[in-house]
Amino acid sequence: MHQGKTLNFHKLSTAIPSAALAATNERLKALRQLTSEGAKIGRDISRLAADLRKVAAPQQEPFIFTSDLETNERLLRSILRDCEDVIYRTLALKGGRALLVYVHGMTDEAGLAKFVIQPLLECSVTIPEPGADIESYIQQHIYAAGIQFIEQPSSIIGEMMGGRTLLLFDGHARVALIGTTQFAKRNVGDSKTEGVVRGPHEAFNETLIDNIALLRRRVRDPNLKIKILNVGDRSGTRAALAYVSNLVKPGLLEEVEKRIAAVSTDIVLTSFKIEELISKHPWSPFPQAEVAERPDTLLNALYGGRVGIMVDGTPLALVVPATFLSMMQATDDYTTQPLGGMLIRMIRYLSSFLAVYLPALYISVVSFHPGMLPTTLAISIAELRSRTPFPSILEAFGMIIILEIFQEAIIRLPQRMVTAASVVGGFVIGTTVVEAGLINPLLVVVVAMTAIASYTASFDFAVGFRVVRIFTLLAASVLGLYGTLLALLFTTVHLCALRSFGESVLGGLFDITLLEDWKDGIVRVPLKLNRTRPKVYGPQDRTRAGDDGG
Amino acid sequence: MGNLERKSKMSALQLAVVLVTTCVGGQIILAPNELIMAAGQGAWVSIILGGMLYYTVSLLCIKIGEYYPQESLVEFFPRIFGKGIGLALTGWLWVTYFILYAVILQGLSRVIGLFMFDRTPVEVIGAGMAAVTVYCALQDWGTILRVLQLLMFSSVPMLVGIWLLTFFNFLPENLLPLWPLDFKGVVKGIGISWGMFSGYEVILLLLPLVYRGKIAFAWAVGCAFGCMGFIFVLVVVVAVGVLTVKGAQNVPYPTLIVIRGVELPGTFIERLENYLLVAWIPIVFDTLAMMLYFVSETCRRWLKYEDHRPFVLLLAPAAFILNVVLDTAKLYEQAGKLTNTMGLVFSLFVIPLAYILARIKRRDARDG
Amino acid sequence: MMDRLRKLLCAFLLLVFVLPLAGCWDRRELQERNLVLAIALDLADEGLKPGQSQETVKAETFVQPTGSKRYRLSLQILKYEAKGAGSKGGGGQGARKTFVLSNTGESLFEMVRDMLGQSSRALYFEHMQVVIISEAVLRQTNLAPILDFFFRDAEMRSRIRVYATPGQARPLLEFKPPTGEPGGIYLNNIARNHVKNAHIGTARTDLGHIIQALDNDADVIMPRIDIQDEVVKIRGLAVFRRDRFGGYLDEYAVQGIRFVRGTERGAIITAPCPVHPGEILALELVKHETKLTPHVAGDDIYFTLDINMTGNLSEVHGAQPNTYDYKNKDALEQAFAQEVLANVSYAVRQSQTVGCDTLYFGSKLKAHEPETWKRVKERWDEIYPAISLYTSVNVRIRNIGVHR
Repeated sequence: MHQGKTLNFHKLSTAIPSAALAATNERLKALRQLTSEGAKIGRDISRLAADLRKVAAPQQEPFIFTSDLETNERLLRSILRDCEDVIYRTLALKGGRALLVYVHGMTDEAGLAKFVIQPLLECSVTIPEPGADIESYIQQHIYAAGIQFIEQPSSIIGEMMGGRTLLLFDGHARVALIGTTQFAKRNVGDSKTEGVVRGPHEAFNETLIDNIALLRRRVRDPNLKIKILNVGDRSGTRAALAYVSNLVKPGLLEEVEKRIAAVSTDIVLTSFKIEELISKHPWSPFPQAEVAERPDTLLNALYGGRVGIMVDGTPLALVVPATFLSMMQATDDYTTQPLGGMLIRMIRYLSSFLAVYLPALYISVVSFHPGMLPTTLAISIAELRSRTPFPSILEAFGMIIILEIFQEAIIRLPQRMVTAASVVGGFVIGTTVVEAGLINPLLVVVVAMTAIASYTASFDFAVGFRVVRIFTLLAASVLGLYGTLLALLFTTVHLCALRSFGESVLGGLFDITLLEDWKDGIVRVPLKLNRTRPKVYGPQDRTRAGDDGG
Repeated sequence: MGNLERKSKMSALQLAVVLVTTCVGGQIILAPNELIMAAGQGAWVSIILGGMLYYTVSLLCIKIGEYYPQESLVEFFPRIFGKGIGLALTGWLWVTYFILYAVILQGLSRVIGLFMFDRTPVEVIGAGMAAVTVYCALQDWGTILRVLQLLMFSSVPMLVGIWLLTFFNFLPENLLPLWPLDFKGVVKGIGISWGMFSGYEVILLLLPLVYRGKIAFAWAVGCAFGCMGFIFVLVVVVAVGVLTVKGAQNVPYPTLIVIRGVELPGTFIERLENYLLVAWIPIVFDTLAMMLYFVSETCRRWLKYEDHRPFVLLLAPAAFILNVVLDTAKLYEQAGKLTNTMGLVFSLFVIPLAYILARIKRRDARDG
Repeated sequence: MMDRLRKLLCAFLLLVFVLPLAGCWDRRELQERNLVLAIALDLADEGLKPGQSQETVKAETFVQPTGSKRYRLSLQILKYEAKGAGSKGGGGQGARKTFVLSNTGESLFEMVRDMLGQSSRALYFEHMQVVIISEAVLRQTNLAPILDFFFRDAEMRSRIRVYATPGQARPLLEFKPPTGEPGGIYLNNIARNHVKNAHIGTARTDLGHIIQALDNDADVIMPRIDIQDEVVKIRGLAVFRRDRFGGYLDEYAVQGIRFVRGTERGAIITAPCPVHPGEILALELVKHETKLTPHVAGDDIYFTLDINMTGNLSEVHGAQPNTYDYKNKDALEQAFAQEVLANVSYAVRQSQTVGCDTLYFGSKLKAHEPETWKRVKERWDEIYPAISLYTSVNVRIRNIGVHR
């Protein structure tokens, strides 16, 4: 690569004309100023480096704790420079000093004072000599519950930024992490996206630990495992994998871990980011992981042999693998009588079909195949439509766009404005558009029906429906019923090809090797008749009753 | 990772489903006229006898598969017949399916164009369907298998259900005399019924993908043929029962004419032929997708490629162009006859011969 | 490799889905279609609009290279009234909802297409209800060529009613139904009541069945419709030998034919009262089974007919017979059976006189005695009028109504 490449050096003055000299001088001055400031930082750094050179810091670690408290403090202060919410509290103890470092607002200061500072200050035992066992001293004299000793300095800093308190002693390089985390958070509240009538109402909140506790509180099974991972190179967000060790399909957990480990991103603020980054078909409009906002939904999934992913900061856990059937189920299916539950479920399937295909069918029938209407109906539709100036396809697109605008506006608006927006949208626009004869009332009914129908599916799926609806409508506007059918076939093939962790999203629906899943898929049979877990997720143990617990 | 990502193996019953979806297809609407022309009153006998005949041939296919486990016809035909002839015979089936794809596509476009549209060009109708079949054939086998099952269990019952509505117009008397007088016609009908059962030859390609479970292949394939036979007999019997033999002979698409006559007063359902077409299109779609998959998968095996997808993209435009060429009524009819003859020859001569040769080879190998 | 493949696929799909956008060939809004509800066929110089001059006839038609101006084809087309918030309640009472266009020529399709010159919107036949053919046309031409246009076109429904009318056909299109329905729908709907009215022969006589009869070389029958001033009525049948017009059968014969074919459920049978002579009883049928069987004895072909009827006594016009008395009841049943027997033989006699196989003797023979049928097929026209029918009728009275 380097061969044949020649570099020519010239004098600077030949490259820069003399007129530029003044500007260069200006720049030089600024540079000097920077250098002098930099020298100050340089001094700090060189001092640090000198300290660091005493002990060879392991690779990829910024520094290592020394046995000198002052050095340690200086090191910490230089790393946490300009983090003014970090508090350094020095304690003068018998036999030396100690240093507490914590983040203001992330730490329970009262608890810290009562269970850490007070016992230490009141302690009559001398701090062990340098090199002696400091751990047992700490364990003996501190009342706080969670104490941890970690080697890696970067993890220590990370933990401290997450709310724990650092405790350092003069003459000791060992650092204790004290669990004093307490921060402002939302309480466990009602579910916002998964409504339920008869089931439990508690939903996850934004705090991972609370969410895990919500799971544990419901199940005392030691086989329910929680594995904590860090995702996001900069944010270091904690994510928890939840699974039941003696049910989960072999290989599934490893695959999930592998994919999460492969996630390379700086910060993770929502669980959707994880969902998007671990799914294999990012261009598909359909979700490839199920969303659970409620602990009972998540547990139900876990005990079917699936894996849950909870991400700190998002009240929505992910469940993989997800299939069409699982995404169409709701808690209320199981909190009503089986026949009622079955009816609810069937209605949901029907409405998801309507949500996608109703406008396209309307266009096909009205603009392409009016023969499919009974004559009297055809006449009344024609009379309704004879006042509207637009072709039905434009009418439908217009109406769908209006609908999308309403939906978007109502989601974005502050709560107080929603009523006003609804009145303006629904009444003023809706009624006047019809009164003015721009859009015929039947189409309004069709589109409104479509919108209402799409609300019955989960929000994620409903967004997918909206995309497919427009695609189908386009196909219908060209080839009528035939076009609609082609779009339907296309969507079917796509949904069968779509895999969520190996499971075809739609393909399992009529797979004859999975037909027995129907008892809790398309229909819902009474529990007495349904004693097995769905086959599709490949749980290790299929029978629901009488697990051996191994 | 186990089978988490790829699920290409299938059970014997799934093979049966694939056979039904592959065979039941365009012919429901395209074939009854020709069959009733030939066999008249005895059309249903032709179908049953034909079904039994082709079932026997498919049993031979399974037997050959047992001699050469984990191999498809691309591998074992050259071993049975020698390299050149084996390749030529595989090519024979390949060409049959290739033309059949174009013929069915053309038939579909014609029917849709005639009954659903007025001025939409036939090519556009064909292109739409071709595009969707290409998209399906581009998937891996596991996906195609699932699509086939999905359509089988959603469209076939819908089709049969709509079809049963014709019983309002059904006059059992039109079927009489039940027993055919014209046995020559019945025999001719058996030949024509190949068109209905065509597609069962995919067994030769798919056998290595089937794992052996509790259900015997012969039984599963028998179920498939039973199911097909039931559908075809139902179609023909109702067509004759509603339209009479003469009536069915005079209309090119008796099935649609039969369903069109159904009127359900008091409901909003009118023009049932459109509903029947709606149920029929997915069924034709899966036949076409399967044929396309067959030809490209055969190519893949010939050339020992990893992936069948380049061949789909290569062959589909060619097949589509062939479909456009078949635009005139005469060419279309001739191409239909050609595939029928080619397929019949393959079923009645090539497969039995392959079985006999394979058996001899096997005995020689055991003795020697 | 994969990436290239993917790009290729995307390009291909894009092409396939974008190309059709260039044209939406068959998209036509419902209100931009003129729905044809009824078609009337007259001879070219008949079926004129009242007061129509020869000048207007010329204005309507076109120059044609082949054929002659044989027929006048009239279309009844639906007129839309813009409904909506502005005009609540629709048009005024009895507003004419349809208008009629007509044209002369020979090819029906050509006339239809030429009529687009008189129509602001394209004509659509998907909601066609009735075809009315005047007797004059039927006497001049066979049925098959006239109806061929309707068989062949994919837009037509099989359940279109076909009527023959003794007068001119066009006035039926101009008829304004008292119910306010569009005329074509009214004309179709009056044929639907055949289940309860044995006088109209509209069961199994629609377009689909006519095609079927023609395909099988059987004789066609179709209902006859009359218009006189403001009265429109279906009465009796027009019968054909094959597709050649043969004449009409009256209501009584129609009732007899329908007793043989068993296509009605609620017919009224009137018979003289056996208890009080000179008075009339009426029976409403509720159940009706018939069995027509062909028999062949050497060269002799005859049919036997078993009729089993169950009905409710629905009207006693005169003095009340004691229906609690079993003897009386038996006598009543006998009287009704006699009446049915007489009715059937009247129908058979009438049909055989006209020479139309209204009872489907031919197809029965073909189905049950195929060998014999082969033998007599050629001579069927001669054999048919002489075939004898042996009828046995069994009538039972189930209820006597809610009064003695």
